[in-house]
Amino acid sequence: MACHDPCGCEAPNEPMTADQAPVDRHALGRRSFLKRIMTGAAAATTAAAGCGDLSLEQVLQRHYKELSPADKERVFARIKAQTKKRFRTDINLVDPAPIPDVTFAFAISLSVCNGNRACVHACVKENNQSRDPAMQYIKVIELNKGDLNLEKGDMYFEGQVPKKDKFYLPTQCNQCDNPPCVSVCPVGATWKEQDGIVVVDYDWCIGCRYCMAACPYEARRFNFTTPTLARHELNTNQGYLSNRVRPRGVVEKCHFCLHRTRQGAYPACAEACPTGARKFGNLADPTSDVAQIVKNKRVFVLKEELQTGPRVFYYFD
Amino acid sequence: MPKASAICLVACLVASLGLLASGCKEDAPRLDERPLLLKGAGKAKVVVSTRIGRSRLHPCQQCHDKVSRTQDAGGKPSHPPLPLTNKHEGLQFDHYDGIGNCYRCHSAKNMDHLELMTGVTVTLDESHRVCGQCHGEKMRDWRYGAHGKSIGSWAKTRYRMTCVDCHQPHSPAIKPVVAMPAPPFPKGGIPKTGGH
Repeated sequence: MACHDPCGCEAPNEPMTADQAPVDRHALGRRSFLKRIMTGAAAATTAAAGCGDLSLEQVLQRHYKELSPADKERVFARIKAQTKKRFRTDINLVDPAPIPDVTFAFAISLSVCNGNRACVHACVKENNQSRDPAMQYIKVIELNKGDLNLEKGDMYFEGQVPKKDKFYLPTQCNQCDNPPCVSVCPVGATWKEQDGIVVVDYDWCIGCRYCMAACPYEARRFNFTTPTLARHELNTNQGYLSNRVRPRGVVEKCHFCLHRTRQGAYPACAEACPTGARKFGNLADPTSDVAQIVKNKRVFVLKEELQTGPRVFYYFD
Repeated sequence: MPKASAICLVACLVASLGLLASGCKEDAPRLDERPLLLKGAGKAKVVVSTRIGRSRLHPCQQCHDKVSRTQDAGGKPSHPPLPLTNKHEGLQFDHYDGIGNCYRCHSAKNMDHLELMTGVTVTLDESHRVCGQCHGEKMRDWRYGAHGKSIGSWAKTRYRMTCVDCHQPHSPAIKPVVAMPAPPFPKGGIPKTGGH
């Protein structure tokens, strides 16, 4: 468990530097040796316990999958208190379980998307993403018509859209069925849930960024600084594995708005899309929009040859 | 006497029921009784969004007191095709050739309603049937969910927005918009200018 607080990360090292000087252990008596060890341990514990907002309880918190309902209650109360302290706002923190027999997917009509970026900004608002530095889960790539070469794409286009001879391809986390980001995580802080969503436990992530290197879709984002977010910008409807305020030094990504979708709502991007290009639904239900599109339309996925099994399908019509 | 009055009452009831039934038939004639949209499985439902009550200019009687309900005995409109006067002159026509003929889609018998090519009158809530006469392919996609926005809940009730929720019927192409702000360009990044 890493210390994510900017203030205290150096603190545990300070008492240790004295110990790290070359010491001839044989010259020490048993008592003084133990004393030194104990002092060092105590100093480290104190530093950890007093590490800004990071409490001892937080340091000792177990992995999400190992939390009992009572543990969860305690952890959620702690997160609520921390958010209240920082934003002076009460939040509603939920942790909806995956719905049985539901497997989520997106289908995006590239003929309809006009690159207006409403989805990008709705996502930022919904998911309490850092405003400065700006973090966005969705990239809308402007491509030349008749060409699917992503290297020739531009995601910094501005002005009136759609531009002549261009089309727009929104990308986000594909929630792969065979996710490379999950298999490289050295601590198991990210995993695939039953309904297909790949989630991150922000309290377990050590910030090594292996997953970012492994992801072929550039879907993961790293918090180099503590995310900045004004009080009035905070979305108080939060989920433990989704849009709660992240600490510094952890990786985050799109999670299909699981705090909304597992309760029956559409993701924020799909709801905000003014063109109706984004279709979301349960792929396991043959009457759902996405299942029908996959069945009837000629859909494609990005980087199919990598066999990652993406859940974001694209089609033209 | 009570027997007679009872008979009278029954007769009245039957007559009124008959009237009601005929009234319904006239109001909502339907050519095809196929399910409009693919039905949802289990608890899921798909509902088409309605237009009546949401259109600012409907019904016509808000401004025109006589325009729609006047017709002669043969069902032909008793007024000549209305020239465009000031209120409707702001309409932009950019659809097919002949869009200037209002009665291609609007019912001449009752301007509150629409009319199919077959002469069947439909209400504003079924305006997609008018569009579907020409745009069959889009209609097919819309029926199963590949075209058109769904709102509500993916699990319970999906409200499928209808054609005219997004497309102005007189000028249906979606207008260009100004894109929302781009992500900040990375510091030290080299912008793509198209050449070296």
